[in-house]
Amino acid sequence: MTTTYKPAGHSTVTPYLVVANAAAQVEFLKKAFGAREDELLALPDGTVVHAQVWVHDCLVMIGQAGKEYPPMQAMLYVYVEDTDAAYQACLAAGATSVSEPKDQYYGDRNAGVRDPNGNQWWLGTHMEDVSPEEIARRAAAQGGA
Amino acid sequence: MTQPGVTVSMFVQVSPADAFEVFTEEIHLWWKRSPMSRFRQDRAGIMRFEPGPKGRLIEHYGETPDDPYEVGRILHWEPGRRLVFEWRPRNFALHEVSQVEVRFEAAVGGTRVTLEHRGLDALPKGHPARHGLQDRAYWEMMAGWWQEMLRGMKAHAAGGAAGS
Repeated sequence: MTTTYKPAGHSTVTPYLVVANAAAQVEFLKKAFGAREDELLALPDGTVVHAQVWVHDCLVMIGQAGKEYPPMQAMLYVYVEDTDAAYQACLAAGATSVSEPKDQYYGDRNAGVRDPNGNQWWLGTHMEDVSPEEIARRAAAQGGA
Repeated sequence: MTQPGVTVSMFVQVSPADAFEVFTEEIHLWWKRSPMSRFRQDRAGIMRFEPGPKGRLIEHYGETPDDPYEVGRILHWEPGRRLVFEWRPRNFALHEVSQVEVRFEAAVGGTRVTLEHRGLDALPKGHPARHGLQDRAYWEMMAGWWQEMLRGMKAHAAGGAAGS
């Protein structure tokens, strides 16, 4: 069997969340996004030291923070079919609201939550293709970036 | 052994029955052979399960006087669901033994294979099987080692279903 530099099915870039509570992170992703567990390593006391879960087509790695690697909060943007439903699912899974769902000038409807480990998840649904000129016009009208 | 052990779970894309068959009947194909995964330092062997509730896990080397090495007896044999066997490396004293339990649980699209290795907490500090590590460092080393073994099983299972 030929060994390749990248395991089959893995994307080039893989989010690696280093969190204060890896077990809770796994559970949040399962409840919020229906994540499927791929690998999980746990100590005798139940501490999850490493896990890999599939959030739809994206593999997310999760590591338990420690002395060498303290918690590193991240921000991830997740495209979903229904931003409003995904937002509610995240809140039900223990996240807190950062931004309620709203339509953005660049064509996405999105919302933001903070998970129990402090990572921010921005949920977005691409609603329309907007030209650069229209984006600029809308941004100016809205006072956005 | 009732004390929890180190646990490694791995999703494999075959049914629980096939996963059990791959684990037990094809271990000679998926076991990652290296100096860190054999029971005789002077000779590489082949791992095999002698199947059934009275079977055992062995490493055999061909026709030699001390062939094979018995890694451990099978303590529970439930195809497609649960397997428990003893695990006794050569550096264990006669009274020392650990236990490996493997559970096969149906999951969407395949099977969640969960391996728990118990009894290692009874090894005294300084035991050669600890490789100089203690506490969390030792557990993480064991978890990482089993992770690599199970990745071999996962890759082999993905390469073709058992019996096909």
